[in-house]
Amino acid sequence: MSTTPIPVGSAATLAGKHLTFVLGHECYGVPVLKVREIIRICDITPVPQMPDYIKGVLNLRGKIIPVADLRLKFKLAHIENTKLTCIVVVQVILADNTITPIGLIVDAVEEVVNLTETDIEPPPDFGTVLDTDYILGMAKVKGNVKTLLDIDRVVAAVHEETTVVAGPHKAR
Amino acid sequence: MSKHPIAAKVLELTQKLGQELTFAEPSKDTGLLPINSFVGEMEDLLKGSDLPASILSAVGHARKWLDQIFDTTALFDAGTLERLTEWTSWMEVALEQAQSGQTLPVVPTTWSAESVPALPMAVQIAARSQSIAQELATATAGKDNGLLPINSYLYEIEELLEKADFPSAIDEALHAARGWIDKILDTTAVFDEATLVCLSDWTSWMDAALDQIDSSSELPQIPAAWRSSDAGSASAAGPQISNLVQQLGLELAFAEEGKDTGLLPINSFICNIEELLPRGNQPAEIVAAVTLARQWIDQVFDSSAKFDKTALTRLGEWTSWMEKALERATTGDSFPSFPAAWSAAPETKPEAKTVPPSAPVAPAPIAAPVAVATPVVTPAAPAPKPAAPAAPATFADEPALEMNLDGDDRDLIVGFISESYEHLQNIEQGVLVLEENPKDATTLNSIFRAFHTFKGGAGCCNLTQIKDLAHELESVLDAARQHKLDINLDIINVILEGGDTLAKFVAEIAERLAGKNLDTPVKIPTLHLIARAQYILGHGEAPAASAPAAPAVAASVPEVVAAPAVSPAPGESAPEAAHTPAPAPAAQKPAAAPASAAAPSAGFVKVDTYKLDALIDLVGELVISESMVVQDPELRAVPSRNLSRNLGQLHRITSELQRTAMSLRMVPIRATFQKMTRLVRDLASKQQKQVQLVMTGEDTELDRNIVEEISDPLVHMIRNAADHGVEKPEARIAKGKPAMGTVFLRAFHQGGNIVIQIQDDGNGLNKERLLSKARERGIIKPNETLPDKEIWDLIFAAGFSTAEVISDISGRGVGMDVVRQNIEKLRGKVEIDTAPGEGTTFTIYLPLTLAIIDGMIVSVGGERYIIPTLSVRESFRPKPEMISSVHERGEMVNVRGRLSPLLRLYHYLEQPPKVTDPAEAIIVVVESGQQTRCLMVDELLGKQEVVIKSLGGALKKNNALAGGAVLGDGRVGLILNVDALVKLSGTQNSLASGN
Repeated sequence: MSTTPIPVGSAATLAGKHLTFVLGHECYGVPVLKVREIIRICDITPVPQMPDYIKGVLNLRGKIIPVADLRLKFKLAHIENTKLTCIVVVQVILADNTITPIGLIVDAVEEVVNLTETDIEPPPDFGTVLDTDYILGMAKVKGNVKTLLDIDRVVAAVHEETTVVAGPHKAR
Repeated sequence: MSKHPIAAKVLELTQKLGQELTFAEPSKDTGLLPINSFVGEMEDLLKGSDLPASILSAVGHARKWLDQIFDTTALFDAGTLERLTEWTSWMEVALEQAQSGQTLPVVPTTWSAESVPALPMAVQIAARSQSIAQELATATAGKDNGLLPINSYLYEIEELLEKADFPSAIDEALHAARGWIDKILDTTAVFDEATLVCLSDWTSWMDAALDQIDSSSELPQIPAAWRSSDAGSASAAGPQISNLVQQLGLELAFAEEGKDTGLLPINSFICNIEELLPRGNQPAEIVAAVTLARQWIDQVFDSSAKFDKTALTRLGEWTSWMEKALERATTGDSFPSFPAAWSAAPETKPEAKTVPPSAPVAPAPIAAPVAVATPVVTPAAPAPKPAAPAAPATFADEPALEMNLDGDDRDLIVGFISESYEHLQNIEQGVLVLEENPKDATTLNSIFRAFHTFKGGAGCCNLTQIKDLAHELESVLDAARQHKLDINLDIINVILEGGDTLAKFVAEIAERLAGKNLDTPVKIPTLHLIARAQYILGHGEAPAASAPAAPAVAASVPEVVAAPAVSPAPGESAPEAAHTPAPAPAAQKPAAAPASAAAPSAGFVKVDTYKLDALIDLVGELVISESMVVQDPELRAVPSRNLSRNLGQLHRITSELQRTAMSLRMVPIRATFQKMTRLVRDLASKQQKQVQLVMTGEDTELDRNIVEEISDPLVHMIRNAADHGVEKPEARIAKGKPAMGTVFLRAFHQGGNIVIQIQDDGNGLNKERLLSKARERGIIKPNETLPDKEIWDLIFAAGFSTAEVISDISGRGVGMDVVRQNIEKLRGKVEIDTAPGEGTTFTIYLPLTLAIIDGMIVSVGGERYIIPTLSVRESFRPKPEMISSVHERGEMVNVRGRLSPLLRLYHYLEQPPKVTDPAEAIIVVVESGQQTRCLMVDELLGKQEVVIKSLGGALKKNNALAGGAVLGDGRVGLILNVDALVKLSGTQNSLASGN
């Protein structure tokens, strides 16, 4: 996995503004400084030989960026796009320290919340049921619980899994 | 079935062609490739058939027209479309009658008329000429609006003219226009009134003339004024010069006695004026005055490199005289008289002033009468360095180069180094020209100036050894310039070696600047070269006196031969005055000096490549957004003429902007080619061969990155050509070839690509040796033979490059696999053509630029993909019987008797295809090396230039994708990497057959 040190559970470093969004019934948050922009869902060009949650690439004002479907990444059921579906473009730091944008498809964007240290708790241990590697912590906002994502880790996983061998794919 | 199955098939093809034709439009290439393939198929069918000759000849005509299109614009024009439509209906009638056995209609005579190509060309030229007229409407005197567009339209017309026979009047007219524009570009780069009038006359003349061609009547006469070269803009050099004189005057105001402030700027102004002089017939007085000024400045450089009072007064007088004279020149009045003081003693008087009193006797003993006019050589000649006479110069005695990389000097040195590459290149190139033609005064002068500027820069930076060496070499050249020395091999060698030494210095300093080897001093021997230069100078003036053996010794053991051998020159007691005053004060004025030294030719700006790339990226975006706006369906529905006119204007500007932005990155390949001259020269002399390198197309422009990357492969291939290709003179004579081998190096444009060709007239590749070598290495199976082309390609196989291969067979092998890799990295390809005993030709095809590819857009499922056109051989809709399968897995397509594997792209691209039956799909035949594959796609959508972009770092690289491109509607299309696809389908097939 990635070698980037991550401050798991250190509530102090997580305090600050987070953008929250919805996937199914669940609520997630990413640090707002990581977010570059939010765009409406648009035409995505599929790229062959990629894992199914990589939806393809899109043209963001002349720059080509990859797009991942967070629903599929987190193994939630696939649903059709709605009016609220949108793409959150985040800046991630790759293992080789380069910064690159990637789009994440989410069901809906909620709001930007200001989290204090007391709002945040370390990620729970689900044992083997769920890998919590890319969860930074859990935040309690207005009675709801939001999962704070370590977006670099989520994408680093994408990066590694998409290593493609141009070999026989569907041998007939 | 009809009596003539072939006729029926041809008829079917003709009908298909007719359908494609309905979609074709003038100046687009929609349908061009399908039509071409149809005609190709017809040709195949007709071969050996018994159909009437008139049908054969009709198909021949069609082929000719298509070839013309491919050779020129690769776009349809109205004339050809009309003719093709006519042709289809003729063919249909003819074929039906052929089937029913009736007599055929006659082939229209107009088809074979020789004037055929000229017509559509004339239309194209007329279009360009009208565009020029439009540009002219916005052009105003004193501005450069429209200058570049007009320039490029002219280029386009020139290209068109080359391809067809036009009346000479049109050629002449074009030549005249080219002359005006070139003059403007070379001088002020803004229009003047006279040129504008001429140009607008020109466009109306062109229109009239082209009309006449259409109606094939007599052309209008060319206005006589056009023939004379100074059509109004000739005098443009005048204002340019007077501008320079004024600037020089300004610099002069800051110059002080005993300092060198402004010396370099003034020097370069005078250089610029000198360059302008040959243009526009300047009066003799002005030429003489400039020559005088050049002499004064040279004297200043050669003595203390500081102004003295005389020089300053003279230059002051000179500027005011020049200003007056130039003014008179434009009004046509008589010239002011020359100040008496100048012409009376310009040679002797300033010399007496500038040469320090310690060396008053220096000029006298030389006794050559011309010597008086050359203050440069005389003091230099008899002056060995003080250190030299004492002990022979050895490496240990060489002083290390002192330089101050930290303080103010650093910037100066950086500037100096970046400039010097160019100078050194000029020097080397020039010397090689001189070797061929020792009397070439222009080249001699340019080398001299290069050394001169180099010396000035080195002096400024306090790089004493460099300055001294450059000074001596410059002295030698100056003597040659003034016909006191004849250029001979010795001199050439000294100057070449000197240039190499200076290059070494520059490289070492550059390393230090980059922070490497800071602790070791820069120590490169220069004294022996200086000694040799001085020896040449000393003997060159009295050729009869010297012992004939001496030069040979000096040349062969330069390290040891020092002062004693040099001494016979008379007047050696005079100390070298120029060397003693350290040029330290020069460094105290860094601000003005580097800038002016750096810009000997005005009108160039150095730009950070990062900024350039950013600009080009942005322009690419602009073009895409522009096409999104223009093609917006809602906007298109607006019935406003004004809007459409404005959109048209926007389109024109953006495409011009794109072209200009792209051209920013383009540099001529000249510098890379010129390196090869030296390479061939050295190789030939080392191997006792006689090889000449003949270069053409050095001005062909390529993307900067490509020029950089292509250099190494070229060196490899040229070295191979001279080393292994060309035989020794005896062997050549035995074969009846001239003893002098020739290596041709050519660069030219061909169909949207740049082609670089390396051709030698040597021994050619040896087929048997290559095959046996390949068998030995297990590259091919023992009994396998290959088509010739694939045999030649074997030399590109990895591991084929071992020493014994090279020395045994006449073929090549040194790192040719690397050569091919490098070329493929640039998205190019390389082909070999060879004939035993007659030579080998390597042809490299390169894209114009790395940022853009010419792509064929195809659709598979709902998506569009781009296949680089360079790899596409052809495309067609296959017949069911062309497809055959092996074990129901591997499918093959029979393309004119050659089987190549079918790759159903939709499998790999994971797209639900519109069609799964190959007979309903389109086959695109692609090639990589000698391998071909048939890619099955749903449809061909067109051909387009696209800007290549990376798919983003977050996705790991998929080999089969070369990147993505933003298409006209804003969506991303993926660019396929044909080389990887070919390999991929190879493994797929072998797996399939292995199962």
